[in-house]
Amino acid sequence: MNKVVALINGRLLDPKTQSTTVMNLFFNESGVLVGMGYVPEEEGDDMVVIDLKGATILPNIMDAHTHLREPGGEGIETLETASLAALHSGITLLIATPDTNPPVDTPEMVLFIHTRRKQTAHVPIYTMGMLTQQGAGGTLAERHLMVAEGAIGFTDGNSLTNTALMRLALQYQGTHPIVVTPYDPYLSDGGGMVEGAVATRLGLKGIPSESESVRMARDIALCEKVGGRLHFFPVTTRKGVDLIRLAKAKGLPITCGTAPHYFWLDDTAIEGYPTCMKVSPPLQSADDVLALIEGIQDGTIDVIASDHSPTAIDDKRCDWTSATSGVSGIETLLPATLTRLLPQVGIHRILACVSTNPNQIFGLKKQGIALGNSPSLGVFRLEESVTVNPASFVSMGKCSPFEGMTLQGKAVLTMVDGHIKWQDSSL
Amino acid sequence: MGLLGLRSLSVGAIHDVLQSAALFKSSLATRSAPQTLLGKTILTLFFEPSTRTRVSFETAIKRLGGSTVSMAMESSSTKKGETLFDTVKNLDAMGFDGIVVRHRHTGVPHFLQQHMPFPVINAGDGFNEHPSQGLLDCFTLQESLGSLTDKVVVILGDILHSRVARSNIWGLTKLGAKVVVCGPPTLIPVGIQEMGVHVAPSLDTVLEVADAVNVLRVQYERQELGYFPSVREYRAWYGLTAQRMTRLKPGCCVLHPGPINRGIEIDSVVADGPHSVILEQVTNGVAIRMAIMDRWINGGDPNE
Repeated sequence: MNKVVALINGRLLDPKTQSTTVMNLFFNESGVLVGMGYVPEEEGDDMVVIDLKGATILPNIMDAHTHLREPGGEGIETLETASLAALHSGITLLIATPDTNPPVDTPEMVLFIHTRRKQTAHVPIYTMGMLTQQGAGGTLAERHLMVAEGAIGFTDGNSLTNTALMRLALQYQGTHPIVVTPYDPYLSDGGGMVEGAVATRLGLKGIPSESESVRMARDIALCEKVGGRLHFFPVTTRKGVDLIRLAKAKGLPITCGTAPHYFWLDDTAIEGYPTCMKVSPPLQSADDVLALIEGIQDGTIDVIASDHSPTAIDDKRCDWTSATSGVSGIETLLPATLTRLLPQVGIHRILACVSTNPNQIFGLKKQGIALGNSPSLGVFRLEESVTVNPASFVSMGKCSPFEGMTLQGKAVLTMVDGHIKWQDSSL
Repeated sequence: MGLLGLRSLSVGAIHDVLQSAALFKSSLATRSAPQTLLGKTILTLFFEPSTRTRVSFETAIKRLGGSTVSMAMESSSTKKGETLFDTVKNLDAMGFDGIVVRHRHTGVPHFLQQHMPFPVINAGDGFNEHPSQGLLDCFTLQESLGSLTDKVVVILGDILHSRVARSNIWGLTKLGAKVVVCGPPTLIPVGIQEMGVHVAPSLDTVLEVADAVNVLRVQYERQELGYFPSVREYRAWYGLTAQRMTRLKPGCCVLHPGPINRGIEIDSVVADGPHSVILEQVTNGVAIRMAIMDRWINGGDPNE
C-alpha cells in the first residue's frame, strides 16, 4: 500500500535559471507530484516524511552506455544486478548495448529484453539494437521493426568496416541514432594501451590515438553527405573532440559522449600493469584528458556514461595482455563525474550530460520534476565522500579503475516514476 | 621480491651485482664457486622457447649448488585451458625457493610476483625487459671499456619489439653511458627519447663515434608485417657489415644477444672478428646469473 510521500528540504536545480532552490516535494499514493513548496501543517499517519537536509535532487540520471551481459553472460552480470547497482547509485535508467549472446538484432530480441527487464529489473532499461544482423557487418538489421518494439538506438560497437554499407546504414536513417565506438581495426590490433612514451617504457604494444579520429573522420564525412544521426561513444582523444566540434559548427546531427575514466585517468595509470586500467578504447594521454574536460565544459561532449563493462574475475586476475578490457562503472558514474568535474564544470552542465542530453538524443521523453508528473530522481549528498571498494559493488563486476579512491557525491535515495525504490540507511 | 627489471633497480644495486659477478667469474675459472644455493630448488618456467638463457640460468644455479626443475609450458596445462593464476597457485603449493620465468607477454613476472611468496626472476617478458641480459651486457662492456661513463653505446635494430634493448637502455643509462638507438624508423618506438637515449638518423652517422655496438637479432616476421621491405634492404641500411666494421674505432666492442642471423644483421667477419665480444657475453652470462641468483634467491634484497 503506497503512502503519500513528502521529500522535504531537498535542493532542486532549475536548469532554466541555473539556480538551486531548497524545496519540498509531495507525492500522492500513485506517485504523482502533487505539491511543491512548504511543509504541510499536519502530518498524518498515512504520510511518509523524509528530511533530505539539503541533499541535492537530480532528475532522470541515466547511464546511457552499459554492457549488461544478459542474455548469454549471466555469470558476469544480469539486468537485475546491473539495475540494482543503478538503484543504489541514484541512477534511474540504463541504456543497454545489444552485444549480448545472442545479440539484440531482431524485434523479438528487443521484446525479450523488455520482458526480462519488467520481470527482474529495478530501474527501467532501454536497449539498443544491432546495426547489422548478428552484428556481423554484412546485412542491415530490421531497424524500424526493432524501434516498434522499443529499441532506442543502433550499434555494432565500432562503425562498419565496409564503408559502402556504413553509408547505406546512415542513408537508411530512422528516428534513432547510430552509436559508434570509433576505432580503426588495423591500428587497434592488440595492445590495450595507447602508443606513446609510457607504452614504450612499459614495453607494451601501443595503439595510435589516431585510431579513433581516422574512423570518426570517415563517418562524419559520410553523415555530412547522406544524412543520418551519429552518436560517438566514447570519444577519448583531443582529435576526436576537435572533429565533433567542427561537425557541430557545421550543424551536423552528430553528438558524442565519454566515460569518467577517460576524463580522469591517463596512460600513466598503467604503470605496474594493473588490469583494472585495461579498457577499450585505451586510456589516452594527459593532454587528451584535458581536451575531454574542455569538451564537456563547452558542450562539445553531450553525454557522460560509464561504459559499464563487467568482466569475470579470472579475466582480470591475470597478466595485462591476457586480461579482458572493461570495468564496472555504474556505481562510480556519478561520484567520479562529480568529484572530477564539479568545481570546473558545475552541476548544471553535469546534469545535462547524465540526464537531459541523453534523454533527448535517445528520444526517451522522460518527465522532469513538475506538478502532475511522476518523476524519477536520485538524491545525492554532493559533499559526502566515499572510498571506492569494488568488492562491495552491487554489480557483479568487481573491477574498477577508481578502486581505493575517495570520491564525492553519495546517493541516498532513489525514486522511480514517483515511488521510492531505495533509500540509504543514513536517511 | 625478485628481479623484475633494471628499470626499478638502483644504480647501487647494479654496481653490486656487477661486482659480485666478477667474483663469481673468477670462482668459475678455478671451479671454486661458493655453494650458496645448496638445498635450494629453483623452478625455471619458460612459456617461450629458449636455449641459451635457460641453460645459462640452470648452469648458474647448479654451479652454486642449487637444483633446478624446469617446465616447458608450451605443451603443458596452460594449453588445456588452465589460467596462469591456477598454474601459479599449483606451483606455489609445491614449494620452490624461487622461479625463473620467461613469457611472451609483458608483465607476466610482475603478475606472478604479486601472487607468489618467493622471488621471481624475469628471464624475459614480452618486449619489456630481459634484465639478466641487460646486466651481462653492462658487465661485458665494463670488462672491455672500464667505466661506462660517457661511453657511446649504439643499440642497433628492432628496438620496438626488443626486451634486450629496453633492459640495456635502463642499465646503461644508469651507469652513465650515452645510449644511441638506431634502426628502421618503423622499429623505433614512439617517445623512446624519454628513456634518456638519442635516436640516430642512420647507422653511418654513429659508426665512428661508437664505443660499442649492440646488434639485435632481426625477426623475419617483422618484415612480413611491413616494418621493412626486405632483408637485403635491411642489411644494406642497418647491417653491421664487413665494410662498416672498418669504420669502427679500434677498441669498439660488438655485442649480440644471440642467436645470430649471420650475413643479415651482422656479417660473419664482424661476429668472429676483433671487435666481437659475443662469446664473452655467453661466459659472463653464467657469472651474472650466479650473482643474480645469489642476491635475489638467497635472502633477497633488503633495498628493493
